Amino acid sequence: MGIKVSSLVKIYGSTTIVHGISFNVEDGEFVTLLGPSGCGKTTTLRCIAGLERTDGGVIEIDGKVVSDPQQGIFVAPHERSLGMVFQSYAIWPHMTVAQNVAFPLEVRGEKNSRETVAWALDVVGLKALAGRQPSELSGGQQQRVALARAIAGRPKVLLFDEPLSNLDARLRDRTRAEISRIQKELAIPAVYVTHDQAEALSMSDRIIVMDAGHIVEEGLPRTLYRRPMRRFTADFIGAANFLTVVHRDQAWFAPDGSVVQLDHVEPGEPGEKREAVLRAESMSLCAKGDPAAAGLNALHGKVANLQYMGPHIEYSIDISGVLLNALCKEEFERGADVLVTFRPQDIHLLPRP
Amino acid sequence: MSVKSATVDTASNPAGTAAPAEAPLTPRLSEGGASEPLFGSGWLLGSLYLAVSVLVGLLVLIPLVALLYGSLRNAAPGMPGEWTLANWAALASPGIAGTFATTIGIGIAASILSAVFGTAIALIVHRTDFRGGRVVTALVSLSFFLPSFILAMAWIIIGSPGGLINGIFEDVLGLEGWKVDVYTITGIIFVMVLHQIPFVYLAMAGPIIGMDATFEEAARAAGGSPLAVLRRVTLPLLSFSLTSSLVLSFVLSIEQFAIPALMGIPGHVTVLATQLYLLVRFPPPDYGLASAIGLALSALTGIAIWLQRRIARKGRLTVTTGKAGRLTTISLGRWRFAANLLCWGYLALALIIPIIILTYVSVLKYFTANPLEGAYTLRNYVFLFDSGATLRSFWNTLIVSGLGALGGVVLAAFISYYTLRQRPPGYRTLDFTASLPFGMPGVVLGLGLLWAYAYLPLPIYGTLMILIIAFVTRFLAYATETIGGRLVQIDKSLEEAAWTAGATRIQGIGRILVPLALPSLRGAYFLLFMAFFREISSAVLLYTASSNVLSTSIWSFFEQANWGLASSLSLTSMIVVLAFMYGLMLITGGHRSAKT
Repeated sequence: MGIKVSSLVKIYGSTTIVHGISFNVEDGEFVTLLGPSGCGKTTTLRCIAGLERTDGGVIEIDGKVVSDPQQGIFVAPHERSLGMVFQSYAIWPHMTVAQNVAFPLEVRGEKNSRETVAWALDVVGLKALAGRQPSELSGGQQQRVALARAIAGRPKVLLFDEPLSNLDARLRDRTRAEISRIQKELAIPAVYVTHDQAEALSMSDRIIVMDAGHIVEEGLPRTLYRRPMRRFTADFIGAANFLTVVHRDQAWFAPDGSVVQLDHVEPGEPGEKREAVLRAESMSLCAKGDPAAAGLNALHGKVANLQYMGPHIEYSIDISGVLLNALCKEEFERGADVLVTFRPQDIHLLPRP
Repeated sequence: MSVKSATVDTASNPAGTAAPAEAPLTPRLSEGGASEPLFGSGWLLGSLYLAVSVLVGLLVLIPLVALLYGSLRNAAPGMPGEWTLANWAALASPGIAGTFATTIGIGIAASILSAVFGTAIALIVHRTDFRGGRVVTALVSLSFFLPSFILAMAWIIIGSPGGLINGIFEDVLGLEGWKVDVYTITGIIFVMVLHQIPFVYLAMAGPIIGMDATFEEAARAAGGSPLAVLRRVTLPLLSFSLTSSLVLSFVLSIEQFAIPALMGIPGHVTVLATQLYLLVRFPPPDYGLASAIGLALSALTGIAIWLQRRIARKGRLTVTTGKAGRLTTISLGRWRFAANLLCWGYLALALIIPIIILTYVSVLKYFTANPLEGAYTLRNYVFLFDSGATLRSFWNTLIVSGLGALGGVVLAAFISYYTLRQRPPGYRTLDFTASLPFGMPGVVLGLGLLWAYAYLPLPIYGTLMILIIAFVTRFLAYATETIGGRLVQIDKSLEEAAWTAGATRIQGIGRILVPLALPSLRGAYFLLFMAFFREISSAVLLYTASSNVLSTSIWSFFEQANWGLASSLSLTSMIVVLAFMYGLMLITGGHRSAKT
């Protein structure tokens, strides 16, 4: 069942915001729409919620078509059985915490909402604050009220519109885990919109990367991070270094002329050029001739610049005119000749475009 | 047509609104967004939209079209006549052209003086170590609600040729040849300035308090002395707001009717608004020329408002950041005396002395400048309660202000909802139409309705209904501005959250939007109530003996030169209305307001 989006199109005036995208979200699955601002991810979410009318395509929730402009079908948001958490939380300031959470039950005409409200507040750990006014709550607490309100109506799907972007970093980490836990407990499909790669990687069962109204690629967090298919994905999820490697004599060569070992055989045409993705955090530095480099890929470079960050040092290494960004623990001076080392499984060639 | 120019975005302006002029010009929702999906009870909201649009269209267009028609006819309303352009040609005659010049001259002088003094008081109260700022603010706000015709009456009693000052000169001090006369251009400007200073003050206080403190701090850090910062940074930053309230003050001056009518007609100083009135009221009437003058005056105010809104929109982008920082207090030092003189002197002239004089005159049997020789009596008050006509005007005012304002607020709430929230097709036209009457002087609107209902088969001329129609039309923009200013602050997601939680559109409105907008609805009601109570200009051509309201009753007493009754009724009605408002505020819980 879950959510099924097929060929969704959304147009504002003369601008097409979403270009016919399709994806499914299975029951109990947590799917994140990830992309830069303006990529159409929030619009897609709002189309699923029914807050926007679509211009094409079909949206199904729980096996029922809720939006199909060609057939003239549009199910209003209040009839879609949703739970939605907004970026601004949208806690109603004129109601107490309990009244906020009881609202979805009340408007559906449920008389005995008290137990459900208590349950929902318990799930988010706010039982003690039921009688408070929203203005007395911190940002994190308001966020959890929004979450409790979203689950109180026993929705068929959960929708999240960048719910953590207004929280400070520490609170964000905690709430991330909480949202994942609650969604797994309820076992309903969830669509989560964010531009934060850490949120996407840590919470999702599956990530859909979007750019300019298209789906760039989708996959497991681990796969998208380590084996992206597109340069855009590699660049957006964790800043990546791109090296151009050349195929020659059955091997791939880095710009400095050294052979690049991969963890598998990657066939290529003689003289073929490919882009290799190299994560800044998967590199180490050592001095030339250091035995630590044995068995690893080692590129010859020079420290062009460095910034001391505390847990690591952010280096800019010049490899035959190409600058690599590397986060390493080893300490070197600016101008030092170094070897940049990394394991064969840490370099990944993007497929041919 | 009056505000032809304001076609683009038509959030009309809050000239007389108690809210600062800057605030209501709130940012609109994103322009690109299509209208929201209609669902649930959509048909109900849809048909209400149609009804509201038709009603607003009728309210606004009927008097306008009637005026246009009237300006092209050579006969009185309802009389057989012929088409003519003579009325428009007559605008260029030396007499009318002179009236134009007088109107604009008075407008420029009065608006500049009001802007200077109003801004000075606002700066003194909010930016210096002036003592008693709270009291001054409260009293200035109170004088804001003192009707212009009552203020003008008080100053006529004080300064007309047969008034108090001249009486003191001649009878008490025996000075011959010393004469004061307020029936002059200077007198008119003087009273107009007194009347408009609170408006400028209220409009400037917001920007002055809300100014981003870092601008000044940066100037201080760069080495500027407090005075240099005021001159080089603060005032230039406020210049947009200042210009904007200057222009609005100009509009208020040229459309002002009561002051030039009471003071100018005896002194043969004629402005456009009074010229129109004289043409209609005194034989031989010339309705056609009056209509042409009315439209020309509306065009003048329309252009000024259009200009003001462009200025205000620009200014909003540059100065206010919404960050409330702590602004440094400027020490008055040896200027304290001047500051006290300005603030208290103003309040004395605009509020305290007029009230004292009205009280004095209201208990006199015969007018005398010497309180020691006065024969005192309460008969003016006794008469008010014995006279059925006066008692009826109290009831009429309660009906017109109480119910009329309610109707106005409901209409304005629907308009704001459709133009700012739902935005169905054609919402811009509705927005524009609703803002049109704002540029229409009251006496012009009155004339338009006079024309219109001479032809329309609705027998409402001379009833309270036509007064309610006139007042609602005239002040609709005040209410939409107040409510709209609040609506745009209510984040869209609050309503969306209700929908996704399972609420229909109607439930969302009832459970979320209305409770959150309630303070503005209440505010708009009080604003309209007071505006209706003190309105005279649009009523003066429409009232009859049976539809007298308080303002028109006071007006007629004064026209009959019955200063005692006019004074006692002025005081009594102000007390009754303030008490009524206060009671209403207690009942509706206006002292509490919802938080966002």
